[in-house]
Amino acid sequence: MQEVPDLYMFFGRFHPLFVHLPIGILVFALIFQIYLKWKPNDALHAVLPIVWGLAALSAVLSALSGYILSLGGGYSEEILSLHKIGGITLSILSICCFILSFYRMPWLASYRNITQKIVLSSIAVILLLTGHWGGTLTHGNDYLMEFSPFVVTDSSSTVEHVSRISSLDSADIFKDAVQPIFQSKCVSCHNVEKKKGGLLLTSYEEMLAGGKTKAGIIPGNTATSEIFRRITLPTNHKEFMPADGKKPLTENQVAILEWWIDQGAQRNMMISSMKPNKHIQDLFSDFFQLGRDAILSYVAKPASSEALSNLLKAGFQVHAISESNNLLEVKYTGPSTEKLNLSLLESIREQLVWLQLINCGVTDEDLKIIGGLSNLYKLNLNRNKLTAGGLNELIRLPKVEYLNLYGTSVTDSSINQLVTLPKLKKLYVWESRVDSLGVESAKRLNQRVDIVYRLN
Amino acid sequence: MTYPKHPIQRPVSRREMLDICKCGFGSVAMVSLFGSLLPSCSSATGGKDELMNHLTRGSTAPGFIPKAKNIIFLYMDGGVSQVDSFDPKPRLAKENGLDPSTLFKVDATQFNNVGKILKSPWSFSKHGESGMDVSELFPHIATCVDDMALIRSMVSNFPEHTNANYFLHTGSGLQGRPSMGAWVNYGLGSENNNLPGYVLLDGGLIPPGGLDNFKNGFLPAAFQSSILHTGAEPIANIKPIDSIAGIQEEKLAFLKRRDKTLLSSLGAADEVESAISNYEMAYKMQSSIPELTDFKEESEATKKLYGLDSQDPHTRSYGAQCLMARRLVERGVRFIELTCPSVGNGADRWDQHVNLKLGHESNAHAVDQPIAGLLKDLKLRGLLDETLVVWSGEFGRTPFAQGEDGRDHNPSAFSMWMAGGGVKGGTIFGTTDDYGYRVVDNPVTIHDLHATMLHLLGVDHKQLTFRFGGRDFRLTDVHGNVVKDILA
Repeated sequence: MQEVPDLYMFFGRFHPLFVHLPIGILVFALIFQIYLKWKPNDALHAVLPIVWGLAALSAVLSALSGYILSLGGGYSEEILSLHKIGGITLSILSICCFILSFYRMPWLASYRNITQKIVLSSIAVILLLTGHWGGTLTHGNDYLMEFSPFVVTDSSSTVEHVSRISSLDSADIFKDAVQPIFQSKCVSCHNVEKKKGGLLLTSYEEMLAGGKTKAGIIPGNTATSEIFRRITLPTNHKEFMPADGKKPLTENQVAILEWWIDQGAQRNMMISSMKPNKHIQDLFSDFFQLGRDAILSYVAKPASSEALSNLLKAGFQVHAISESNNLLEVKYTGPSTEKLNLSLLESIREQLVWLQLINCGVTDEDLKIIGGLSNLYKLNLNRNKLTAGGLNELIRLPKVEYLNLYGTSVTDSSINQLVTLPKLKKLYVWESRVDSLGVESAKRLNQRVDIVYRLN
Repeated sequence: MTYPKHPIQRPVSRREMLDICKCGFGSVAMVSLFGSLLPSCSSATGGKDELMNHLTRGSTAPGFIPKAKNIIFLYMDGGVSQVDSFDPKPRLAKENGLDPSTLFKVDATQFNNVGKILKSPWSFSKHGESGMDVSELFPHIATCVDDMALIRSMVSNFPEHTNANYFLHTGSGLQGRPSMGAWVNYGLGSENNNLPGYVLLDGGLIPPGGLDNFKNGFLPAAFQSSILHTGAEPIANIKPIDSIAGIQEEKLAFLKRRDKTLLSSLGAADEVESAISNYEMAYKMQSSIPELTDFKEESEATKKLYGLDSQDPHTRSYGAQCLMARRLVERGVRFIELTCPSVGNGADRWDQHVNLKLGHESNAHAVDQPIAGLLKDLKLRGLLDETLVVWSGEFGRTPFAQGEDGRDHNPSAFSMWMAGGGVKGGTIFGTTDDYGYRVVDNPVTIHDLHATMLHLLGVDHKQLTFRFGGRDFRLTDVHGNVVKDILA
């Protein structure tokens, strides 16, 4: 690899910035040209040279900076050369269009139509291809199609694997855990096309071999394994990986790699045969998302800000359950004198998983609305004037795990109904009309439900 | 000395500009880390807009769903003896009166007045479906064992109260770090705008180390604890002095205007900002505190459950504090700590260097029924699912006597328990040796305890940081592992 002066390289690094200018301007110029064809307009035609001029200038700048960037190396030769040819061709064609748009020579007029058509359509095609090659160079081969619904994802995709493992006994340490981790966090830069730092992380041998500086993984020794050192540095360290602010490995992923290396970095071994202790088993259960609460895997679209502001204006407390899943808790604690507008809750039906309306005058009528909030997993209606008739509406809640009805007029027959809720785990009916006989019969119907109704 | 009538107005300096912006950036980062709004750096438009911004902005940071929303920390000041409460050691009875140095290596203790092996004056029996051993010191708590996760393998770094208290409360043995209650509120914010997010219910004894156990340290001053005392007036000046309506509001508005003018001439100053918000909070508390401390809506049965009808004035006093804790939880206060009552009888807290039997019995009698009442009441109301109750002292006591009938400090092993939100009831974690002197299996440090408490609140203890003095600080410093075995 040849040495590139720092100042050149500095300019070259601007390529990702410049490169978007010609893309935008060229697309605009193409549309503009077609429009003029359709509705000729002399005034607009005078602008054409400016548009093509800008397109040509930006294309040349991009091509220049791109060329300098490519001298730094680290990219797949094959795609790089295609990208290079595409970039240079685009620059030349843009300059041609610039010239064509300028001169309105009569002798050219008879040829212009056909020349223009050829040039314009080539620009469109080459622009598309060059852009795609550029994207492949930066983000890796399968970046575009990884989440495409039209392609069967290949077997190393993380998403695929995580859902496929149904128990730890059927999981292979390398194929099911280690490789998917590398695949999701490392391979976009360390692949055949884009071998950053001379390091490839697409296969077992390559991981061990490492890159330009050191061996990647020393089995049984995390301290001297360069890859492990890099992923466990402080995130602001300049040698930290993944670099450039890409998403770091999670604590769980690091812990799994650590254990794998400590255990001798096995290539083919079932996790269960490596005798993991309880802690390690938990790590893998988390990784494969085994035995998690239903609520943990539910992710909703963000609620509309209008719906939220209406709720806040109406005096409801609204809390985000956690930052990553858009789920919401809504709380209202009485005593309140005014009637609550519960229909506001319907606008966040998808996000609302926890509802607490405490001692605030909720009536049987309101339960019709609450019964339709199908994503609730915790519902607290204690100290409201509710009767058996209204509570039957709650039978429609498919996900509810926690139901708090203490201080209401819930009866034995309603709890016999309520315990049939498919997910119910806890039912609170203290200070109601429920007695021990009712609880006995409810427990016979569903032993899974913990019914709290008196001091024990 | 004369004061200028109008503080000098001057343009914002570059430094202040950066400072102001930093707060903005900081809060954006924080909001992406935690599932709730940050009360710090709040804009003039107030909390709701901020919540809106937070709720509606997309975020990619990893996070998890909290099991608990509030913590009640039952602080057992002085150090409960583990071998007399939750960690039975039959060998002490067999070898009662032997010289401990002939049996095992004895570390230096605070008073180094090492006596003989001292058997527990109380007998143990098994309780609940889990069959957890509890001594007769705690007959009421013993009825709640199936909701409790007991850790018998706690270790501390300090054999002396002051350092050990700082360590338990702030994660550092030295004075000046933020208390865990302050960290929790810094991370999650408060759900109640009319009450402080970190409340200390002062039972009568302020622990060694003083109020620095409950301070905000380098965190913004609004996160320090507010102390509610027992008795008729829990906070000084809780009744407005002005008899004419409106006068107090006018005075406060005037004060606020002056403070804002001062603030604009000073630039960002946490002291002034916190003072402004504290005045506002104090005004709101003049109505929220009387409502909080008025137990008239509590039924007689509930009061009885907490021991408010007890013959023992200390049980009544601690019972009222426990009932208050439940009421605070209902009002969305994040972190509530209870300190112990002063039981007299020559028993200074749980710190029985002499007269173990009388001292531990007096202390246990004061707290046993109220704590059990709190657990049962929380459970009846469905609140135990979202409230984490933590019971712990700062260290344990020696299995051998200090002098004739006391026990000295022992940081090498002690017992604590948690109950409620996200905790696996009926669990026993960790083991000590045959004397209950040292931990032999699964030691749990104070940092581990803090990490676990934060975990149950949905906060990753490694992500909860505050930059001060040139580096990022955490409650758990560079330590701490979540004790997963006690989690449900």
